[in-house]
Amino acid sequence: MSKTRRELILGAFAQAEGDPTILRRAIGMEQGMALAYEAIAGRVGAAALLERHARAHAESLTESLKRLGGKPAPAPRGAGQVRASAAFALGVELTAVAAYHDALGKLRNPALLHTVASIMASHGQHLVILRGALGREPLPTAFETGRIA
Amino acid sequence: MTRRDLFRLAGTVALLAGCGGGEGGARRSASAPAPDVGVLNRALDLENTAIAAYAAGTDLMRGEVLRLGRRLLAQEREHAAALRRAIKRLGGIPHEPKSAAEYARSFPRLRDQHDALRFAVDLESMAVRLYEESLPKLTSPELRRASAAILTNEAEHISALLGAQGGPQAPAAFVTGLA
Repeated sequence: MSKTRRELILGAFAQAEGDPTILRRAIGMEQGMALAYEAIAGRVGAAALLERHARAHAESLTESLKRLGGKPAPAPRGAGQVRASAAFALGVELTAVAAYHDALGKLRNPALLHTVASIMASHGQHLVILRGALGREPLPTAFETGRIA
Repeated sequence: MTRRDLFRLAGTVALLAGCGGGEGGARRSASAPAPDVGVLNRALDLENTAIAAYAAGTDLMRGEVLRLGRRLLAQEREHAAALRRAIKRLGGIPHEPKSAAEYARSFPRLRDQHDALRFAVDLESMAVRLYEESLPKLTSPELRRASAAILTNEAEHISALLGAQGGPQAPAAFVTGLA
């Protein structure tokens, strides 16, 4: 993932206020991730698993948004620029962790805090898989915030 | 390690998580404790339990698994240190760990590396669950973020431990700490 793309996503989360807005950002991010992983499926070992999880996250967050009376934004149509590498996927997952780390300081609905935390933790597990695939230390820090080392 | 052992452990940890030492775990009598102190002390109790468990479990580990166990132990110590600092900043008193013997009495019998890994996965899962349940109770956004960073690291530990057992490292799309 390019630095600019990461900055755009994290900037959008930083500016988001209120549970429905944060949820819409998260849904869009997960849908974009699913499309990116779909585009590299078969070329990066973990892509199929990551795509499946991203779709499950997007569906769950969409249900949460509907329960709050919100309406999801139209789903993205294309994956944008993707690279078929574990390093690209690692960048995507780090961005997701960083976005949820920010969101968990702002979300108010208790059930939503549970859901988002369980999704952030899922992305943390993806980091372990991808770091391992890249031959990197799988547990480089005791505090996983999605920051790029 | 038997299923009965696991139930006994779960009961012990639930007790630790629920009985953080009175007054919300803050042990302050002069004034009411900050509400977050009790929540953080419950997390500290579990981190102290995990530290004791890894200290015992690494005796049974070898090679790459031992290296992993030592890394996880070091990271649990970092979590505990961060929690102690946060509790003190709020004017609370961090809970002290129990003695190694007291912890050992509450742990299941660990016979080999396989038992140690399974026990570690169970403890890490309990930690994920405790931190997730803590998030709505924390009033400070920064403490919620700090807890989320620890929670995610505990989920990473589960992944690494599952990998060390040859299993899938991300078996579910939602990591809740529930079996």
